[in-house]
Amino acid sequence: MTTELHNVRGAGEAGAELAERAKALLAGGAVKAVLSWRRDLTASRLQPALFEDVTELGDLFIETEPGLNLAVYLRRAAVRGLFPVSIVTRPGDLRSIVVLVQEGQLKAEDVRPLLFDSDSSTILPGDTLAELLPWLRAHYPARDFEDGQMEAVTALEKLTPAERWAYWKDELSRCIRCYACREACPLCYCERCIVDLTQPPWLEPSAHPRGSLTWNLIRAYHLAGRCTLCGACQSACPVDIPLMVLNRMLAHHVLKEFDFAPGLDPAGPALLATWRREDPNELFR
Amino acid sequence: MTELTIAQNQLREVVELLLGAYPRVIAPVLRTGGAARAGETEFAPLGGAEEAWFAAINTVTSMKECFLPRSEELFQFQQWNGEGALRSHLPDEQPTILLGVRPCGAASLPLLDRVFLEEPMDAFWACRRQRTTVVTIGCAQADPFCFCTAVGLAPDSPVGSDVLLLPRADGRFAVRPLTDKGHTVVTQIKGLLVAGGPAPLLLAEVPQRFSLAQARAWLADHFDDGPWETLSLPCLGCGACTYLCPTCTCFDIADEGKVSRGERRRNWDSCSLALFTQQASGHNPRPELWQRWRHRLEHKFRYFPERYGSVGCTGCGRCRRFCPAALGVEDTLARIARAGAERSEAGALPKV
Repeated sequence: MTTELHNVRGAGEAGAELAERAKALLAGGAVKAVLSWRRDLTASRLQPALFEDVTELGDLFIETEPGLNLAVYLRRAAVRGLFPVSIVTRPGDLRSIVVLVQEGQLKAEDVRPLLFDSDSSTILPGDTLAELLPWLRAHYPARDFEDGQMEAVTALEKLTPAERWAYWKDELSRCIRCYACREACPLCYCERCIVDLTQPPWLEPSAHPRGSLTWNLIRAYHLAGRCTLCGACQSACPVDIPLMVLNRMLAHHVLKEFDFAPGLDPAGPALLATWRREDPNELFR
Repeated sequence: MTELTIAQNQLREVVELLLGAYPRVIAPVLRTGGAARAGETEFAPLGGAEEAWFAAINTVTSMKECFLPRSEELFQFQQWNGEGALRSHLPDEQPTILLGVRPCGAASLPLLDRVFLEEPMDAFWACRRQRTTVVTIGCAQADPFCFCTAVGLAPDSPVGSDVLLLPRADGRFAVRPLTDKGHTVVTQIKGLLVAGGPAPLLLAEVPQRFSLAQARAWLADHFDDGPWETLSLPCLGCGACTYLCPTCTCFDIADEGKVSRGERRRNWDSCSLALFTQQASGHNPRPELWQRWRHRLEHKFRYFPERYGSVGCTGCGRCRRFCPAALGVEDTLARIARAGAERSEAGALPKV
């Protein structure tokens, strides 16, 4: 989880450019608010901020570690009341917005995203989904599965099923059922989560190994084919569960089995909601 | 005037002696989770002295879990053909040392004793409290999230401790037994103790970043008209801050198993979660996130002191340190304390 005290910085030139782009959108009336980060009161961490007044926009800060995905605030009534808003994103965040549009939770015109690419430390030109999608498609999902990202997944896949199960039982049993992972995820938007249903209960709410294993696996399955690997869940987890390893492993399987990656086509079909005759059947042994 | 001292680098020997004398010694250990960061610690019972790690400013999870586990069985039940049986086991009574809490951790215990030991007494809590001796290590370092001094505590506060080890400028700890239990523990390590001359303590500087009095006055005045939506905007409504908090104790009761056989468990719960106040009627008095955030602040800093005489917070800073959105109670307290100060000057309610 993110406990690092950031040398809080404005991401250099990118921070100043980001502020200029956001100011132009806000001052010009294209958006009613800007969702970005600001330094907290002690300047030791970045926290999300909603700017409605162009005079409040100083240098903007960019969370370069995964940290929070600001798209999670797009479902809040206070923010929806100000649509359209500009929102500072990294690629995983922007792709999660594409999934929200695809799933009918958001309209493309509700957001004017500004996209920061940490690989090149630049703000991409363009501030609509349509303008930014070509860049996303050119670089993703390939970047998600580069060797550096896949080390842990590859190591796990070399284990026997029994060894891999033991690994996940060990990691997931640390869960304290705080649901920070769920609340930090923009795609966990169900008004009543399956784990909160009590009459009858579907999952055991207790933070014992069996209950926690069930919760984490159910959540991973509900995200398969949807998760855009923004990293907010693992960053939020107070007990250091390597959720991104699980999510990346699932995303890799989705790519291999179905040649599909989420968050790149707002008009496309949702993977697990669509059946095609030509879907691969090798899964069934 | 002399005081008992040990060298700061003798903590490993202290642990060895205590492991020989007590069936259970709990101390900070390095975390081993797949996503753990270097240097992060949590409390765990020690298998060997080499597992203890005292270099972190504080543990991530608090020592609360040593007294109120995240999930515990209250009783098992069985029923068949109209006959039923209930089996309940209290925790064991094995004498336990809790070593390496910070003053902000120890200070939470008298607060929680008010909640759990007043009638009706909680036997599970009482058992773990009675079996445990709290050996606190004062703070030579703090980080920007610590705020014990704002809530009336300090890096050398003795509240809640049985023994207090305070770092001295000469590289030793002053060893201060404060209770009968504490004296018993100190006897176990007397071979390591050396009488030391007076030396200044080397304690962390924890600047007081806001006025608690001003924040509390504002909370009393602005339950209804405070800018709670703005203040709570970063909040995600997860339970992370409440579960890490050493003074949060809300719990949920869950029955698991089948009609014929199962168990009743007590699990950590959080007032931040949306269904915390969902009633059987279907009504929820706190359906909005800003209402839940308001409650969190009002409960810790107004209702708890009104009932028990002290604020329900020890300033450990975990809520802000680990909040995914860098919020925590301190962010709100600092903003409203500022607003309170400005209001008393200007007469108008400023933005926070």
